[in-house]
Amino acid sequence: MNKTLIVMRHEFMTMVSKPSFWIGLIGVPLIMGITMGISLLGGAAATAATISNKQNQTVIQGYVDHSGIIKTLPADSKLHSYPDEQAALADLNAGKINGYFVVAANYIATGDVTYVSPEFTPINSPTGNFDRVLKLNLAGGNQDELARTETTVNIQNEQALAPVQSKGGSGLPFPLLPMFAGIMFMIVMVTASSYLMHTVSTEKESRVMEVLMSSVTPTQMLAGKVMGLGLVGFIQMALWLISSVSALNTIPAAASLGSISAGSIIVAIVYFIFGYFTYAALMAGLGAMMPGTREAAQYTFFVILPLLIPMYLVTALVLEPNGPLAVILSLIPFTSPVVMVMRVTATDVPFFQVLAGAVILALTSVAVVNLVARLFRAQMLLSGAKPSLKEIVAALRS
Amino acid sequence: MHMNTSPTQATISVSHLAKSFGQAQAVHDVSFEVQRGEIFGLLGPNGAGKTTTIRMILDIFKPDRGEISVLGGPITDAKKEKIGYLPEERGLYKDLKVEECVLYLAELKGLSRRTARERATAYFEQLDLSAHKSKKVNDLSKGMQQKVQVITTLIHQPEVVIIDEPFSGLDPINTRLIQDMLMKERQRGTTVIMSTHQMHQVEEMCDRIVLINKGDSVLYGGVDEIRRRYADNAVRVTVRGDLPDFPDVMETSRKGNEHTLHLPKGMPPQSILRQLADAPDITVEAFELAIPTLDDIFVRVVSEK
Repeated sequence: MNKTLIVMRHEFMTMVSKPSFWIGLIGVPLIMGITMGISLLGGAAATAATISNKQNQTVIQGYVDHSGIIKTLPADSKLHSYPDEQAALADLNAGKINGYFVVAANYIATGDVTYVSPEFTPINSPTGNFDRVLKLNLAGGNQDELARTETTVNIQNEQALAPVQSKGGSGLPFPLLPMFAGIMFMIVMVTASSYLMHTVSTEKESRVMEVLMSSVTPTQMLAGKVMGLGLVGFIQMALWLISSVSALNTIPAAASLGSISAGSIIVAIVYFIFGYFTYAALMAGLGAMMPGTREAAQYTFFVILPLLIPMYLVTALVLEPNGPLAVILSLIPFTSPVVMVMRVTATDVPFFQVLAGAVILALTSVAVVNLVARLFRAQMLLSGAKPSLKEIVAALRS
Repeated sequence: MHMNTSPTQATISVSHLAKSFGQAQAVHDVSFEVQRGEIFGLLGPNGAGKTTTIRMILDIFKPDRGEISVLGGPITDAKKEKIGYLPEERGLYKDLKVEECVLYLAELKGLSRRTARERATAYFEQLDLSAHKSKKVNDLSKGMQQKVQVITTLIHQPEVVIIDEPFSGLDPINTRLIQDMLMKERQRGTTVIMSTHQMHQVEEMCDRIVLINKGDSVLYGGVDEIRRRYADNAVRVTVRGDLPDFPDVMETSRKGNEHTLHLPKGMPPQSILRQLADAPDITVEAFELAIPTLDDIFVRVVSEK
């Protein structure tokens, strides 16, 4: 058998025979599922609490309509109309209202509505009530027509209103699905590439490297490891995707979270492949340079940091998946694998952006693999000392 | 199955090899040939360039200068599968099961998994490791790990075995075990290159040697021939009783009952033996030519440089 394939099979089998792999494979989606379940139940409970509270206290909202679209209010509405935001803000500060909506002048074109309240309440948001007001007025103030639109052409209404640009009809203003998709994607990539680094530095530390070097070339070894562990990551990601899609399609409560389209899956696969190659090569290079696992682990954080950045910015990214921050991060090759997956599960991303991000990422992965292959040389792999910057530069130039 | 090489063709031939790492010249000018079926000693002080030379033979490092021929030509991937290598710094996959570790390394040497398993089973039985093959390597004693390491070196029945410091850190039982296995390999027709500091092992096992010092090969040839080359005209005598005076002897040194007599150039050692036989009141227990040990020669050559 080809040496690369032997290395690949060895890495694959070693990884899948570890209990930690199976714990991660089953445990991560389980934890995600439980978290999502709690969020859904929390949302439902909050809604129930709101209804209950309505009997005891009155929630009064205001609105400022720059578009002039609101002419009729439902009979049970507690909405106060304000001519401008200054007046609404004054009443909000005075405690006369709990919050107010601002309908943009170009609402029909953009669907932009802003809600201002003293606290950020993503779960127990009053957005849904104001949706009804807008829908009623879009329906010309006719309750029957409103009822018809609500039961037939949901998608069109969502596009017209799109108050939080949510792709699904979750009823939750904060889209959980893109966030969890991003987290899972990050976990798979970090796990697979970290394990790659671990295997290289373990082989260095245990001195088995020299025996290996007498049988295989560094390139065969690097290729075998990257493919073997990449396959593990790919299978892991595929199983998580399949289980997520199945859950969203079969569990009624989960269905409200949204859906994962076939296009999103294709984007995820493409970005995973190139993103994995980029990070796997970087981590392999780190493993090759450092004398042992401990030294390599010290630098791991710096290598995977770009994958973690989207996690710190997750709120901004999933609430504004087509905003400038999301667009820029989905084009930068080191953040794009996670951010693009978040975006495509959150909204419709312009095709040219998906393509541009993929091309940039692919070119980066080719460049990184080429550079790391220069570090992955016998002299570096057999060295027991950390190389100097000069030595690293010399190796990269070789 | 061994590759056919003509009797005159060296199994390994190294000619004017040189290798530098940055400013450091690890190997300057090393040349030697290893004949088929011999045990060849690669000697030298620490940092002399022995391991770098071995790594160049194995194609782990590329030489800056010089020629290397292995099994009749340049090294190839196929030829690498005919070489067994036991490096000085031993290493196995600590977290893998013993059998899995052996099978993987055997597969990388070109064995099918089935053949590797059959041979591994035989080796485990031979070396009393059968009960431990499902344990993790890390759970074995150092001696057992050493046995596993030897199995991974020999399992593919190599034509050439290169073994770096085979006896370092071993107890006498394991030393004997490795020694026996290497002698068996020689009987099988395997060529063995052994790098070691233990000169008595070299005298006992090696047919020929090369001594490398500061990157240069400084001494090369058959062990007996080199010892004779460095021998003075001297005899070593062990007697019971007082040693008589020998007027022609230049210098006498004594260690217990053993006397070393340095003779003038041209004086035959037999003349001393004759005088001892005629001397009254002494018993000759041993009489031999005082040929220097490899240890003495090693120190002398390295010190001269």
